[in-house]
Amino acid sequence: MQSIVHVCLAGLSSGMFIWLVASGLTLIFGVLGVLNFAHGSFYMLGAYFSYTVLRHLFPNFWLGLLLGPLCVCAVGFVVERFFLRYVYRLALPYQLLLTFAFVLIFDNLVKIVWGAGSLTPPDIGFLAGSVPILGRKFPVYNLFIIGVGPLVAVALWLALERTWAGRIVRAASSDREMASAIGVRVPALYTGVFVFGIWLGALGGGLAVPYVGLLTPGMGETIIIEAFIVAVIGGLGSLKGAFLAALVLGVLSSFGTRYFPAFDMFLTFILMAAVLLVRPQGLFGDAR
Amino acid sequence: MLLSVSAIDTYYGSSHILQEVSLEVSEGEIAALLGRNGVGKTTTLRSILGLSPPRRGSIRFAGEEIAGLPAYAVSRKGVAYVPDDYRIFPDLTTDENLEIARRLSPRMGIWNRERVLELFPKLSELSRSKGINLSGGEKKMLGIGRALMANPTLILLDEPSEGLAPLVVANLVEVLGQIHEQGVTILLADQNLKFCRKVCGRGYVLEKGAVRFGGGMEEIWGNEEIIRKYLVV
Repeated sequence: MQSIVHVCLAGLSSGMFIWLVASGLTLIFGVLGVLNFAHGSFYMLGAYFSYTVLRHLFPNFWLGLLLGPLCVCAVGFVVERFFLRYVYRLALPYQLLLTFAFVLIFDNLVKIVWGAGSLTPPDIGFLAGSVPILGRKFPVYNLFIIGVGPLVAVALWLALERTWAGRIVRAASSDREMASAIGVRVPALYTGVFVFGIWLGALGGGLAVPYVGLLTPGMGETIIIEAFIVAVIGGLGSLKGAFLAALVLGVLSSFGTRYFPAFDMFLTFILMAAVLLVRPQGLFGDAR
Repeated sequence: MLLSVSAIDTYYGSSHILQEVSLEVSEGEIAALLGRNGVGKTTTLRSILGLSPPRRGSIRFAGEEIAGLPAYAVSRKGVAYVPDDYRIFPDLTTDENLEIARRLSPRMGIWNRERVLELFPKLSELSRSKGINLSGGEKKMLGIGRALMANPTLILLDEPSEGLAPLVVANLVEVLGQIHEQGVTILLADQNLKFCRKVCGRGYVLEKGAVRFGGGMEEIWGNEEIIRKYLVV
């Protein structure tokens, strides 16, 4: 019982990182119609920028989390405004090629700037230590992460459903042309949504700094695959689906790692295959 | 002239849809684009708004050149569009569909939610229904209401009478008359000659992407050759 609860909690906290990356991925796909393969790289950049802020500027967790992802937003702005914008009208393979090119570019830039080896984040003492749960210790920081995920989900939902900016985003995502016919500057809106989606991924990266223990130039690749699986299981473009799928996948892979180490990713893919066989559009995707 | 379209050529890919289309709409009138299916009526409206920009020619609206401007810029200058398939935002409620148009428009004027609901009382029962759940007729009313919420000078109205029962068409004639009384100019595209005769003062007859005739509605109504050649199916 005790170990099952702990495996679940560990799964929930790792699921939250997948959710943060998948939320940005889903939002960008839902509104812009672009599958941003480079989204994991923005997660990685979020981690590296936050690391740099913490190590060289201010050893304060919140400042790192604020400034790191903001720098990544600037990178995201350049990517959308000067590159991605030109492939919206092209077929999916072109979008994937372009965003995959950015995966390679960012991986190599990180190697040039921060070195090819892994980096150990500075110990800033934020929420360090652990609490006993059912007689076994669990890191406080991981509990914090388990809280942040749903907070982001609720905030996103409120922003999309209850604010006019959110309603305009929903209108433009269902009918880009009619939105422009009533006065929406669609290109500017796309830039805004892309940069916001990037911020969500980079926030995940910033939060991962005290969590992962080591930063490596390839850390974006692992998470983008999981985030893609989550987005597909949840139904492409559905934030609700992505959130639920991230929880399920996090917990499932945590069980996999604990009890069937040889089948870790295998379980994940089985889950995806099973969902897609029964519901090809994903849990909450519409069939269009 | 509120709107002067001069010799515009519009293409979809490599197919040449509009060929030197010219027309004029003066302030406060209701003008018609007539013609059978596929002659370029919708494309003309889309070209004016900037959704299908013309490759050549000029479009002047309220004294300014608007050809080549993106649709959102044309919309902000006071041109509203009601597509033939209404294009109601499916995920937004009736009220939100109305309010979003008002919020995005920089223009002030007499049109607001109350006035639109006076014009279409049926919509007030549906204020919280999502666009996707409305019937075709309800969407049509909401489409016109949404256009009015921007307080436009000119409304481009595509196929307003299409698919409506005679009684509903009679009601539409009355509604368009009320909108017209408030000083809104309308350019509508429709195949229904009788309907256009009741609503419009002047009309342009299109065939194969070109204007074949332009004149008063009574003139068109009385010209059997035009009717036989270009209008009767």
